[in-house]
Amino acid sequence: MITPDQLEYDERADAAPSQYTSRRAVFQSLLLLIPAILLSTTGQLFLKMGMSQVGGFAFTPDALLAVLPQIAFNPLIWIGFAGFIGGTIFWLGVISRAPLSLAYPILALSYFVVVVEAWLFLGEPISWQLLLGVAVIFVGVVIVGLSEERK
Amino acid sequence: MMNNAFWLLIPAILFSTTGELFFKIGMNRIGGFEFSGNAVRGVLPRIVRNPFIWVGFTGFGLGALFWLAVLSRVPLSIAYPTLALSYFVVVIEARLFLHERVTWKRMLGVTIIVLGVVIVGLSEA
Repeated sequence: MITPDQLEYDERADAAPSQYTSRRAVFQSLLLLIPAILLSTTGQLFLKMGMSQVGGFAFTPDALLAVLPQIAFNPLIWIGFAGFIGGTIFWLGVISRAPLSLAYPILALSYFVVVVEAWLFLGEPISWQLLLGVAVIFVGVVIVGLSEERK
Repeated sequence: MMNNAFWLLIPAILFSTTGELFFKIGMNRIGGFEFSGNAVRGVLPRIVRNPFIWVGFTGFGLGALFWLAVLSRVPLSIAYPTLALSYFVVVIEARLFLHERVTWKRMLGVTIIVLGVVIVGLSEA
């Protein structure tokens, strides 16, 4: 919890509320990124496991009608979406306190986490090209995050 | 990836980013709100009744369906990073439809992301 005596005074008159938050509170809120990242990436892992059970489907009305109940009643898919929602709640907790320009690039660590989880738990291979691509995406997200205007 | 599920990834991204766009339009009309019990109770009915928010959720749902179709065909470690294309699409949509200003630094960032996605998409792990 943030108490009034932890707040720093910011001279810039219409600074965003996050800029009145102390460094310590920002750091604490960044710790929430750990469950945010783990829940949403593990959610994707479960979505993948669920869809591996359901199997590939064609985008024709007949095939969709047949596959939708299978998706809707698959417990792994439910766990996947629950993880996604849980991760989103933690994420909202982070961005309500930390600057988006700081939190967003850190969230991009998810791309590495998913690749490692898929390797560990699903036995998916990791190639150097894949890691290079993920690293390039990460650099791009960091630049986007740094381009965030601090008003 | 590129031959197999690329044509499912595009609607997955377009639907979910356009859903995001409608969320933003709806929430611009509703305005910022505090995370206190009373404020949330006051604002929730307005969110639920806002047609833009409904369109947003519909886009989200359709995007999720196409995303599940992608996942059913492609390894997760390749499919997930390609979702980062959304950054590029959202920036373009926000520029076109919400007239948000896009700095050259942001454009550089999303262009590098697209490059990374292409590298991942072409990797045959």
